[in-house]
Amino acid sequence: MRRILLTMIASLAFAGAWAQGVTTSSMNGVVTDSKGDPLPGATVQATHKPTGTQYGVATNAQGRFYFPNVRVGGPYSLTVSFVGYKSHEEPDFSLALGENRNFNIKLAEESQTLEEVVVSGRADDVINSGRTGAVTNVSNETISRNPSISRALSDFTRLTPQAASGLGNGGTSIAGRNSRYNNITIDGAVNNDVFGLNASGQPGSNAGTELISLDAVKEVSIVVSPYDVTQGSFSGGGINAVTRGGTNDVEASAYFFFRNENTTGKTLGEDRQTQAPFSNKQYGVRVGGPIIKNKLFFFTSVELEKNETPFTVRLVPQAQLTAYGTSVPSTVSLISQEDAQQVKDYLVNNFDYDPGSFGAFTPTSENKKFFARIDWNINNKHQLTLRHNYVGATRDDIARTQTVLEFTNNGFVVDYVNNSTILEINSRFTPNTSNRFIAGWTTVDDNRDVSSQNAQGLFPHVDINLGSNRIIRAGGQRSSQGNLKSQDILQITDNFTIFKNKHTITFGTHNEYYKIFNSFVNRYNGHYEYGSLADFLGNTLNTSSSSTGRMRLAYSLDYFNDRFQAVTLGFLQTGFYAQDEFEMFKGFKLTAGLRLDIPFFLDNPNSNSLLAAEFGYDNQDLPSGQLLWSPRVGFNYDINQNGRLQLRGGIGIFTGRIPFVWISNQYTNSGATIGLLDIRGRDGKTLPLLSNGNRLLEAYFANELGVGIDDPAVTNAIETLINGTQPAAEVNLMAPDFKLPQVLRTNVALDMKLPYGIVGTVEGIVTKTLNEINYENINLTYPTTTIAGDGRPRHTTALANNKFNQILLINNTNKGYQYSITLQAQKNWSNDFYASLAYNYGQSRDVNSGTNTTALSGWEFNPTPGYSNRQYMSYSVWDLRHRVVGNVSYRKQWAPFTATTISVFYNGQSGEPFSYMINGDLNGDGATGNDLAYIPRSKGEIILVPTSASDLRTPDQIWEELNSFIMKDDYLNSHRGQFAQRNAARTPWENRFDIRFMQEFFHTIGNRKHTIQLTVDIENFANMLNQDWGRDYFVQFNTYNLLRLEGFEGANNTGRPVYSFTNADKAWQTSNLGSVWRMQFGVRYIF
Amino acid sequence: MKNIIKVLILTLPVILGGCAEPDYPEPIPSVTTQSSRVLSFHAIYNEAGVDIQLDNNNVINTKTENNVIVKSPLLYGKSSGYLTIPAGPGRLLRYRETADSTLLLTDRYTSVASTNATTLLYQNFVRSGNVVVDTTNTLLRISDDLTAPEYGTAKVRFLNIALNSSLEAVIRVTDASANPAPTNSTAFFITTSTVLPIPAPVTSTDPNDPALPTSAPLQRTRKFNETSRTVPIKGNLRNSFSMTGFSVFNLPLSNGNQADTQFNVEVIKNDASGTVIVPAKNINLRGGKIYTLVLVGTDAVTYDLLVITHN
Repeated sequence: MRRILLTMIASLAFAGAWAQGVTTSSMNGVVTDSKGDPLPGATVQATHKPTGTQYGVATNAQGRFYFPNVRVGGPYSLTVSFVGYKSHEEPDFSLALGENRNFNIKLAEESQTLEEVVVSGRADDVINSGRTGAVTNVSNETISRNPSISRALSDFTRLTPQAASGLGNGGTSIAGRNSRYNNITIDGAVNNDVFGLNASGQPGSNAGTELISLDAVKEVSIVVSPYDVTQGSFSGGGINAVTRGGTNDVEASAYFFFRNENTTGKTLGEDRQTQAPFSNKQYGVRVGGPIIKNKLFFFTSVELEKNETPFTVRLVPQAQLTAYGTSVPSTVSLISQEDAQQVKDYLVNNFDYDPGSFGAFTPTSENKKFFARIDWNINNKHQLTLRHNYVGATRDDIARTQTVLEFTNNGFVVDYVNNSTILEINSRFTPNTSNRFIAGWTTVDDNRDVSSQNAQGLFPHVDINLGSNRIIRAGGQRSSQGNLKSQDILQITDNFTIFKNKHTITFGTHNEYYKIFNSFVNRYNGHYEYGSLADFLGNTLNTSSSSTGRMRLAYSLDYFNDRFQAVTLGFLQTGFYAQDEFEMFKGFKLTAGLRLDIPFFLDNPNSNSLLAAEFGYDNQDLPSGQLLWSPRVGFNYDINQNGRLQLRGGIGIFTGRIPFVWISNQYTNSGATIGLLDIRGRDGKTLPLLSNGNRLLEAYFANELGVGIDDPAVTNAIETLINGTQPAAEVNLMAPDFKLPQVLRTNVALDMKLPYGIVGTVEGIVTKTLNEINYENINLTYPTTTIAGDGRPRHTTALANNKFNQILLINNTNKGYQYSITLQAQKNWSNDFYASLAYNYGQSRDVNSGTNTTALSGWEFNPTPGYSNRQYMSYSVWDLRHRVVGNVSYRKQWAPFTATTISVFYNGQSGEPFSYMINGDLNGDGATGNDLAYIPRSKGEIILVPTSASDLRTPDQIWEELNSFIMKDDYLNSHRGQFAQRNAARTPWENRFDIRFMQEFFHTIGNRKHTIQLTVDIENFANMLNQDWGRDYFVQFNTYNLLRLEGFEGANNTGRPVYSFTNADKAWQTSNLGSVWRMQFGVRYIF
Repeated sequence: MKNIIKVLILTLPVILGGCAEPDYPEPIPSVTTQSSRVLSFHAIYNEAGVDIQLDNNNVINTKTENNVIVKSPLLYGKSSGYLTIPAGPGRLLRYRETADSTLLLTDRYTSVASTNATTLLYQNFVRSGNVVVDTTNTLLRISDDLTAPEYGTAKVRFLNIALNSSLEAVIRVTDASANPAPTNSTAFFITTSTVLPIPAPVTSTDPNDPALPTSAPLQRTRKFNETSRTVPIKGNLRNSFSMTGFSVFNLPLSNGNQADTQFNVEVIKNDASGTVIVPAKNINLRGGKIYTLVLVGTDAVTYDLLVITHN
């Protein structure tokens, strides 16, 4: 025990981290004689053949042996020998990632005949005593054969029945939870989008890159409910990938993949057009082999990807635009060349500033991925892995639509760099003790590169409104100056395992230290909005109340010392755990463990004394030191002890993380950091365009005071400004007792072997929310009245205290649950055939689905039927419902030199959930996007008016259209007389078939096989057969404005609400690119 | 151990049993509606009869003839009377020529429950910058306070919508004997251009009551689109503003609320010329009634003073 404690203390000394990712496999078993009595002292030797890595042990007093932390994959051989008994060899088997393969080996005495030797090493990663919760293993074979155009990990996580994409804001939702609540590891290194600003929660996606070359990935394991307490940091699921390593044979591959608009289906509809031009090229090489045979191995891969998408919208002369009349082609801008040229000339001639081009431009995204790995068999007791993954990606971010023209120097480049180094040491100190140590250091830089914008010096952002929603943008992009994000992540994990008698006891610690840096000042360089081109060309920003002219300039409240007030946020989550895995009785294995996670916030936001004075909240009182306990119990019961029928399950608490942007909100929005100069509504005054770069604030006051920029009066004015009363600001806070998301999850599953090598599974998973994020606006009044017409609460005034805007408090709710029931049949790889078919039904409820990045949007866009601070539980945007997922792959070798592989993936699932909303602030809480619609039963229950003066419909006609819309929607029609429920409506069912054809040609020269693979990946194959098939439907932001609030019957928002309704066929849209087939050609050479 | 398994299996239906509908409040729907009233007044010179449509529905200014509902065209210088408009913003009042349904004007009206308003159809200038380039039909809405005046008084207001941006009109009111009258009226038309508050109405049964004003009838400069109340209106392109102020006009006590009292009303230019642009016009006022006097016309077309009777 003392040694255990010492080990724990030693582990802690590494400081700063947890242990999450699964990177290895295990083997265990019992050796008995022919009577079933255990054979202590039998020698068990396992060999990982490709690397010659050997694992040897003698069985203990119970005849048991255990090889923890062995290499993933294989093939392995396992031999058992004992004096007086015939040796036995399991010649050829592989281990899946995270698998704990169980062997029951009976040795026959030397005198017995061979037939009496019984060995039951079960080559099955489904019926397996190490399995308790839902797990999906994606083997290297599956990765290489399944269709994948983007070559993303998500193309393989989707094989998990409980893991769905296409919900919420993207990403993979596991077990009905937020996609951001997964923990994604590669070789145990955290690879989440930990800050959380990337679309779909996937790191690097804003820069258009995957985080690792698929060629470097060996296997992927998706765990939904692992009762193994060494796994953590998720309340959704764990996605663990491990990389390839070198072997004794030199192996290499080079490849090239290509697609463009001609390998993509045409636009939908009657007048089908070729898609806008683009080209995507991926090419790379990987090579692995021995440095010292059986001892030291290397593996490396390099991959490059380039995506070019030229602008399709071009500017034409005014005369041509006029000639088009109302039939301007979609490829022609509604802004004339002359207008654009005038803007450019004016800036060049008067400010010596070239805003860049308004002509043809091809936004490009490029990424480079480099991976290197060393595996070192130090000796039979210790293996070391050291690997590094680098991803560098850039993407041009610039907009051109028919109504928006951004000059090229108004664009920026998303600049993303991710470096991740992992050191892993697996040790077996004695036959009964082993250790796994992982240390990782990851740095992520996710910046906006504005070097082209600022090449001529910092220039204000200029928006020129030309009318009819047309806008020209020039100058430095307003939200990109000093927009820098970086994350440094140190993680340390140590698991010490003791194998004693029937028990496998693990103690460990997993620690993650984050240093988050975030710099963001919107409108740092000033933001001019001109109401007309004439105002701009006259250099007179009309800021009168009758004009839309406006100038905004953000300034630091510590202006003379720190212009950006960047946030540095240190966060430490440290975790400790212990568990015992033991065979309670024959065939019944129990895993029981306890995990403790403790978060620490190491830096404070700026103090907001006004907040303390007015609300009694200390914004520096952070929820550090919460003790988050996660007890878990799992079991696996081989009911008949023959490996044909297995009951498994468990119950436990899982503690996850939240995106750090949710936390950093309260550092950036402390209300004591940034002020905003907002110049508008000044009758009789104009403002010239000031181009004084970093001294814009000085220039503004110099202009106002009529003095030079260096005049002391300017400094005095700024001091007065920053020390004076600031305009009411939004403040973000975390409750002092805020807890990271925690869920109680339980599952029960039955796995059974069916004829023809098929394994069937029935699995139920239930998750109950214990602590989930909730947003409360503590500066919101309590509603004192109700809305005549539907009875919901209404605020007569939104803000309780006018010294502040919204004050968003992040706290917890325990409302919410998810469940899923899964039926699955799968046939593992045999005879070059693999098939799997699964049906999953699940529901998910929550108070807030957590799809937003800021606290304000998390509150103000959360649909509510009344008081927005009240926690109404409803359906989640992650509410999956029905999903059918199938996967078939078959390889046929036609001749000694060629083979064909066809793989099909099918995904059919319920459409995405969405909410029927009211556009407008019905309940008077100050949020215009959070009021759910009341579904009227009859015409009398709703007051309708035309949408505009040109709307020729009568109220009766509008009602008829609205009524017809309601009748066509099953949800609305069946919920008349009720408030539309959040995320209760759904888009139609979606089907998708993806196919990969692979033709291989191979030839053996010497003892080396050379292979050329030609591949064609087709996503959404059904659309290729019929354009109506394979449609991808969506509702933007999962909300549809059924009605627009025009106002109320009476003065001061009294009386019944009055709505307008824009007639539509349906609430959802069809994604153009998501609904058409996409094809990618590839060629690969392997030796 | 079997018990543990049972518990785990039983957990599923227990939790699944909690899958009720979201915990939303019960709505309290209503079918009760409110309304406002709008009086439309036709002041577009040379324009023939006008029909009014509400929310794209049929003409709402109708009358019954021989038990049949027929259109009742709104004619120049006439009002529609107060029409009931369902309350709420975004109401569409369209004005079409009776003859051929040509659309004259569309009014997207915010109908505030329980309010009253007058909408005037008139001609106004189209300007480019400060230069008048054309004229166009347009709307002017003023809100009405239809609170009945006290016994023996009428409420009157003056509105200048003459198509002459330089015209500052002055009103002079005399009684039937050409005497400045009535001597017991409150300050109705004030001579000064300074905006003054309207004094509270003074009523008395004693003509010699010292509280009653004894000065000559007051006159007040009215600029274009300016009303007799205290709202300082500049320019002539105001299509909407709020004006509920009526001046209280005391009538001879003998007439009370029973009979009309005839007054002579002249409109003169507020300049040294003192040119009378609307010669003395007999206008009858009655106690308990509410009136708006509207100056219309141009230099080219005879100026006229039209009368809207609100109740």
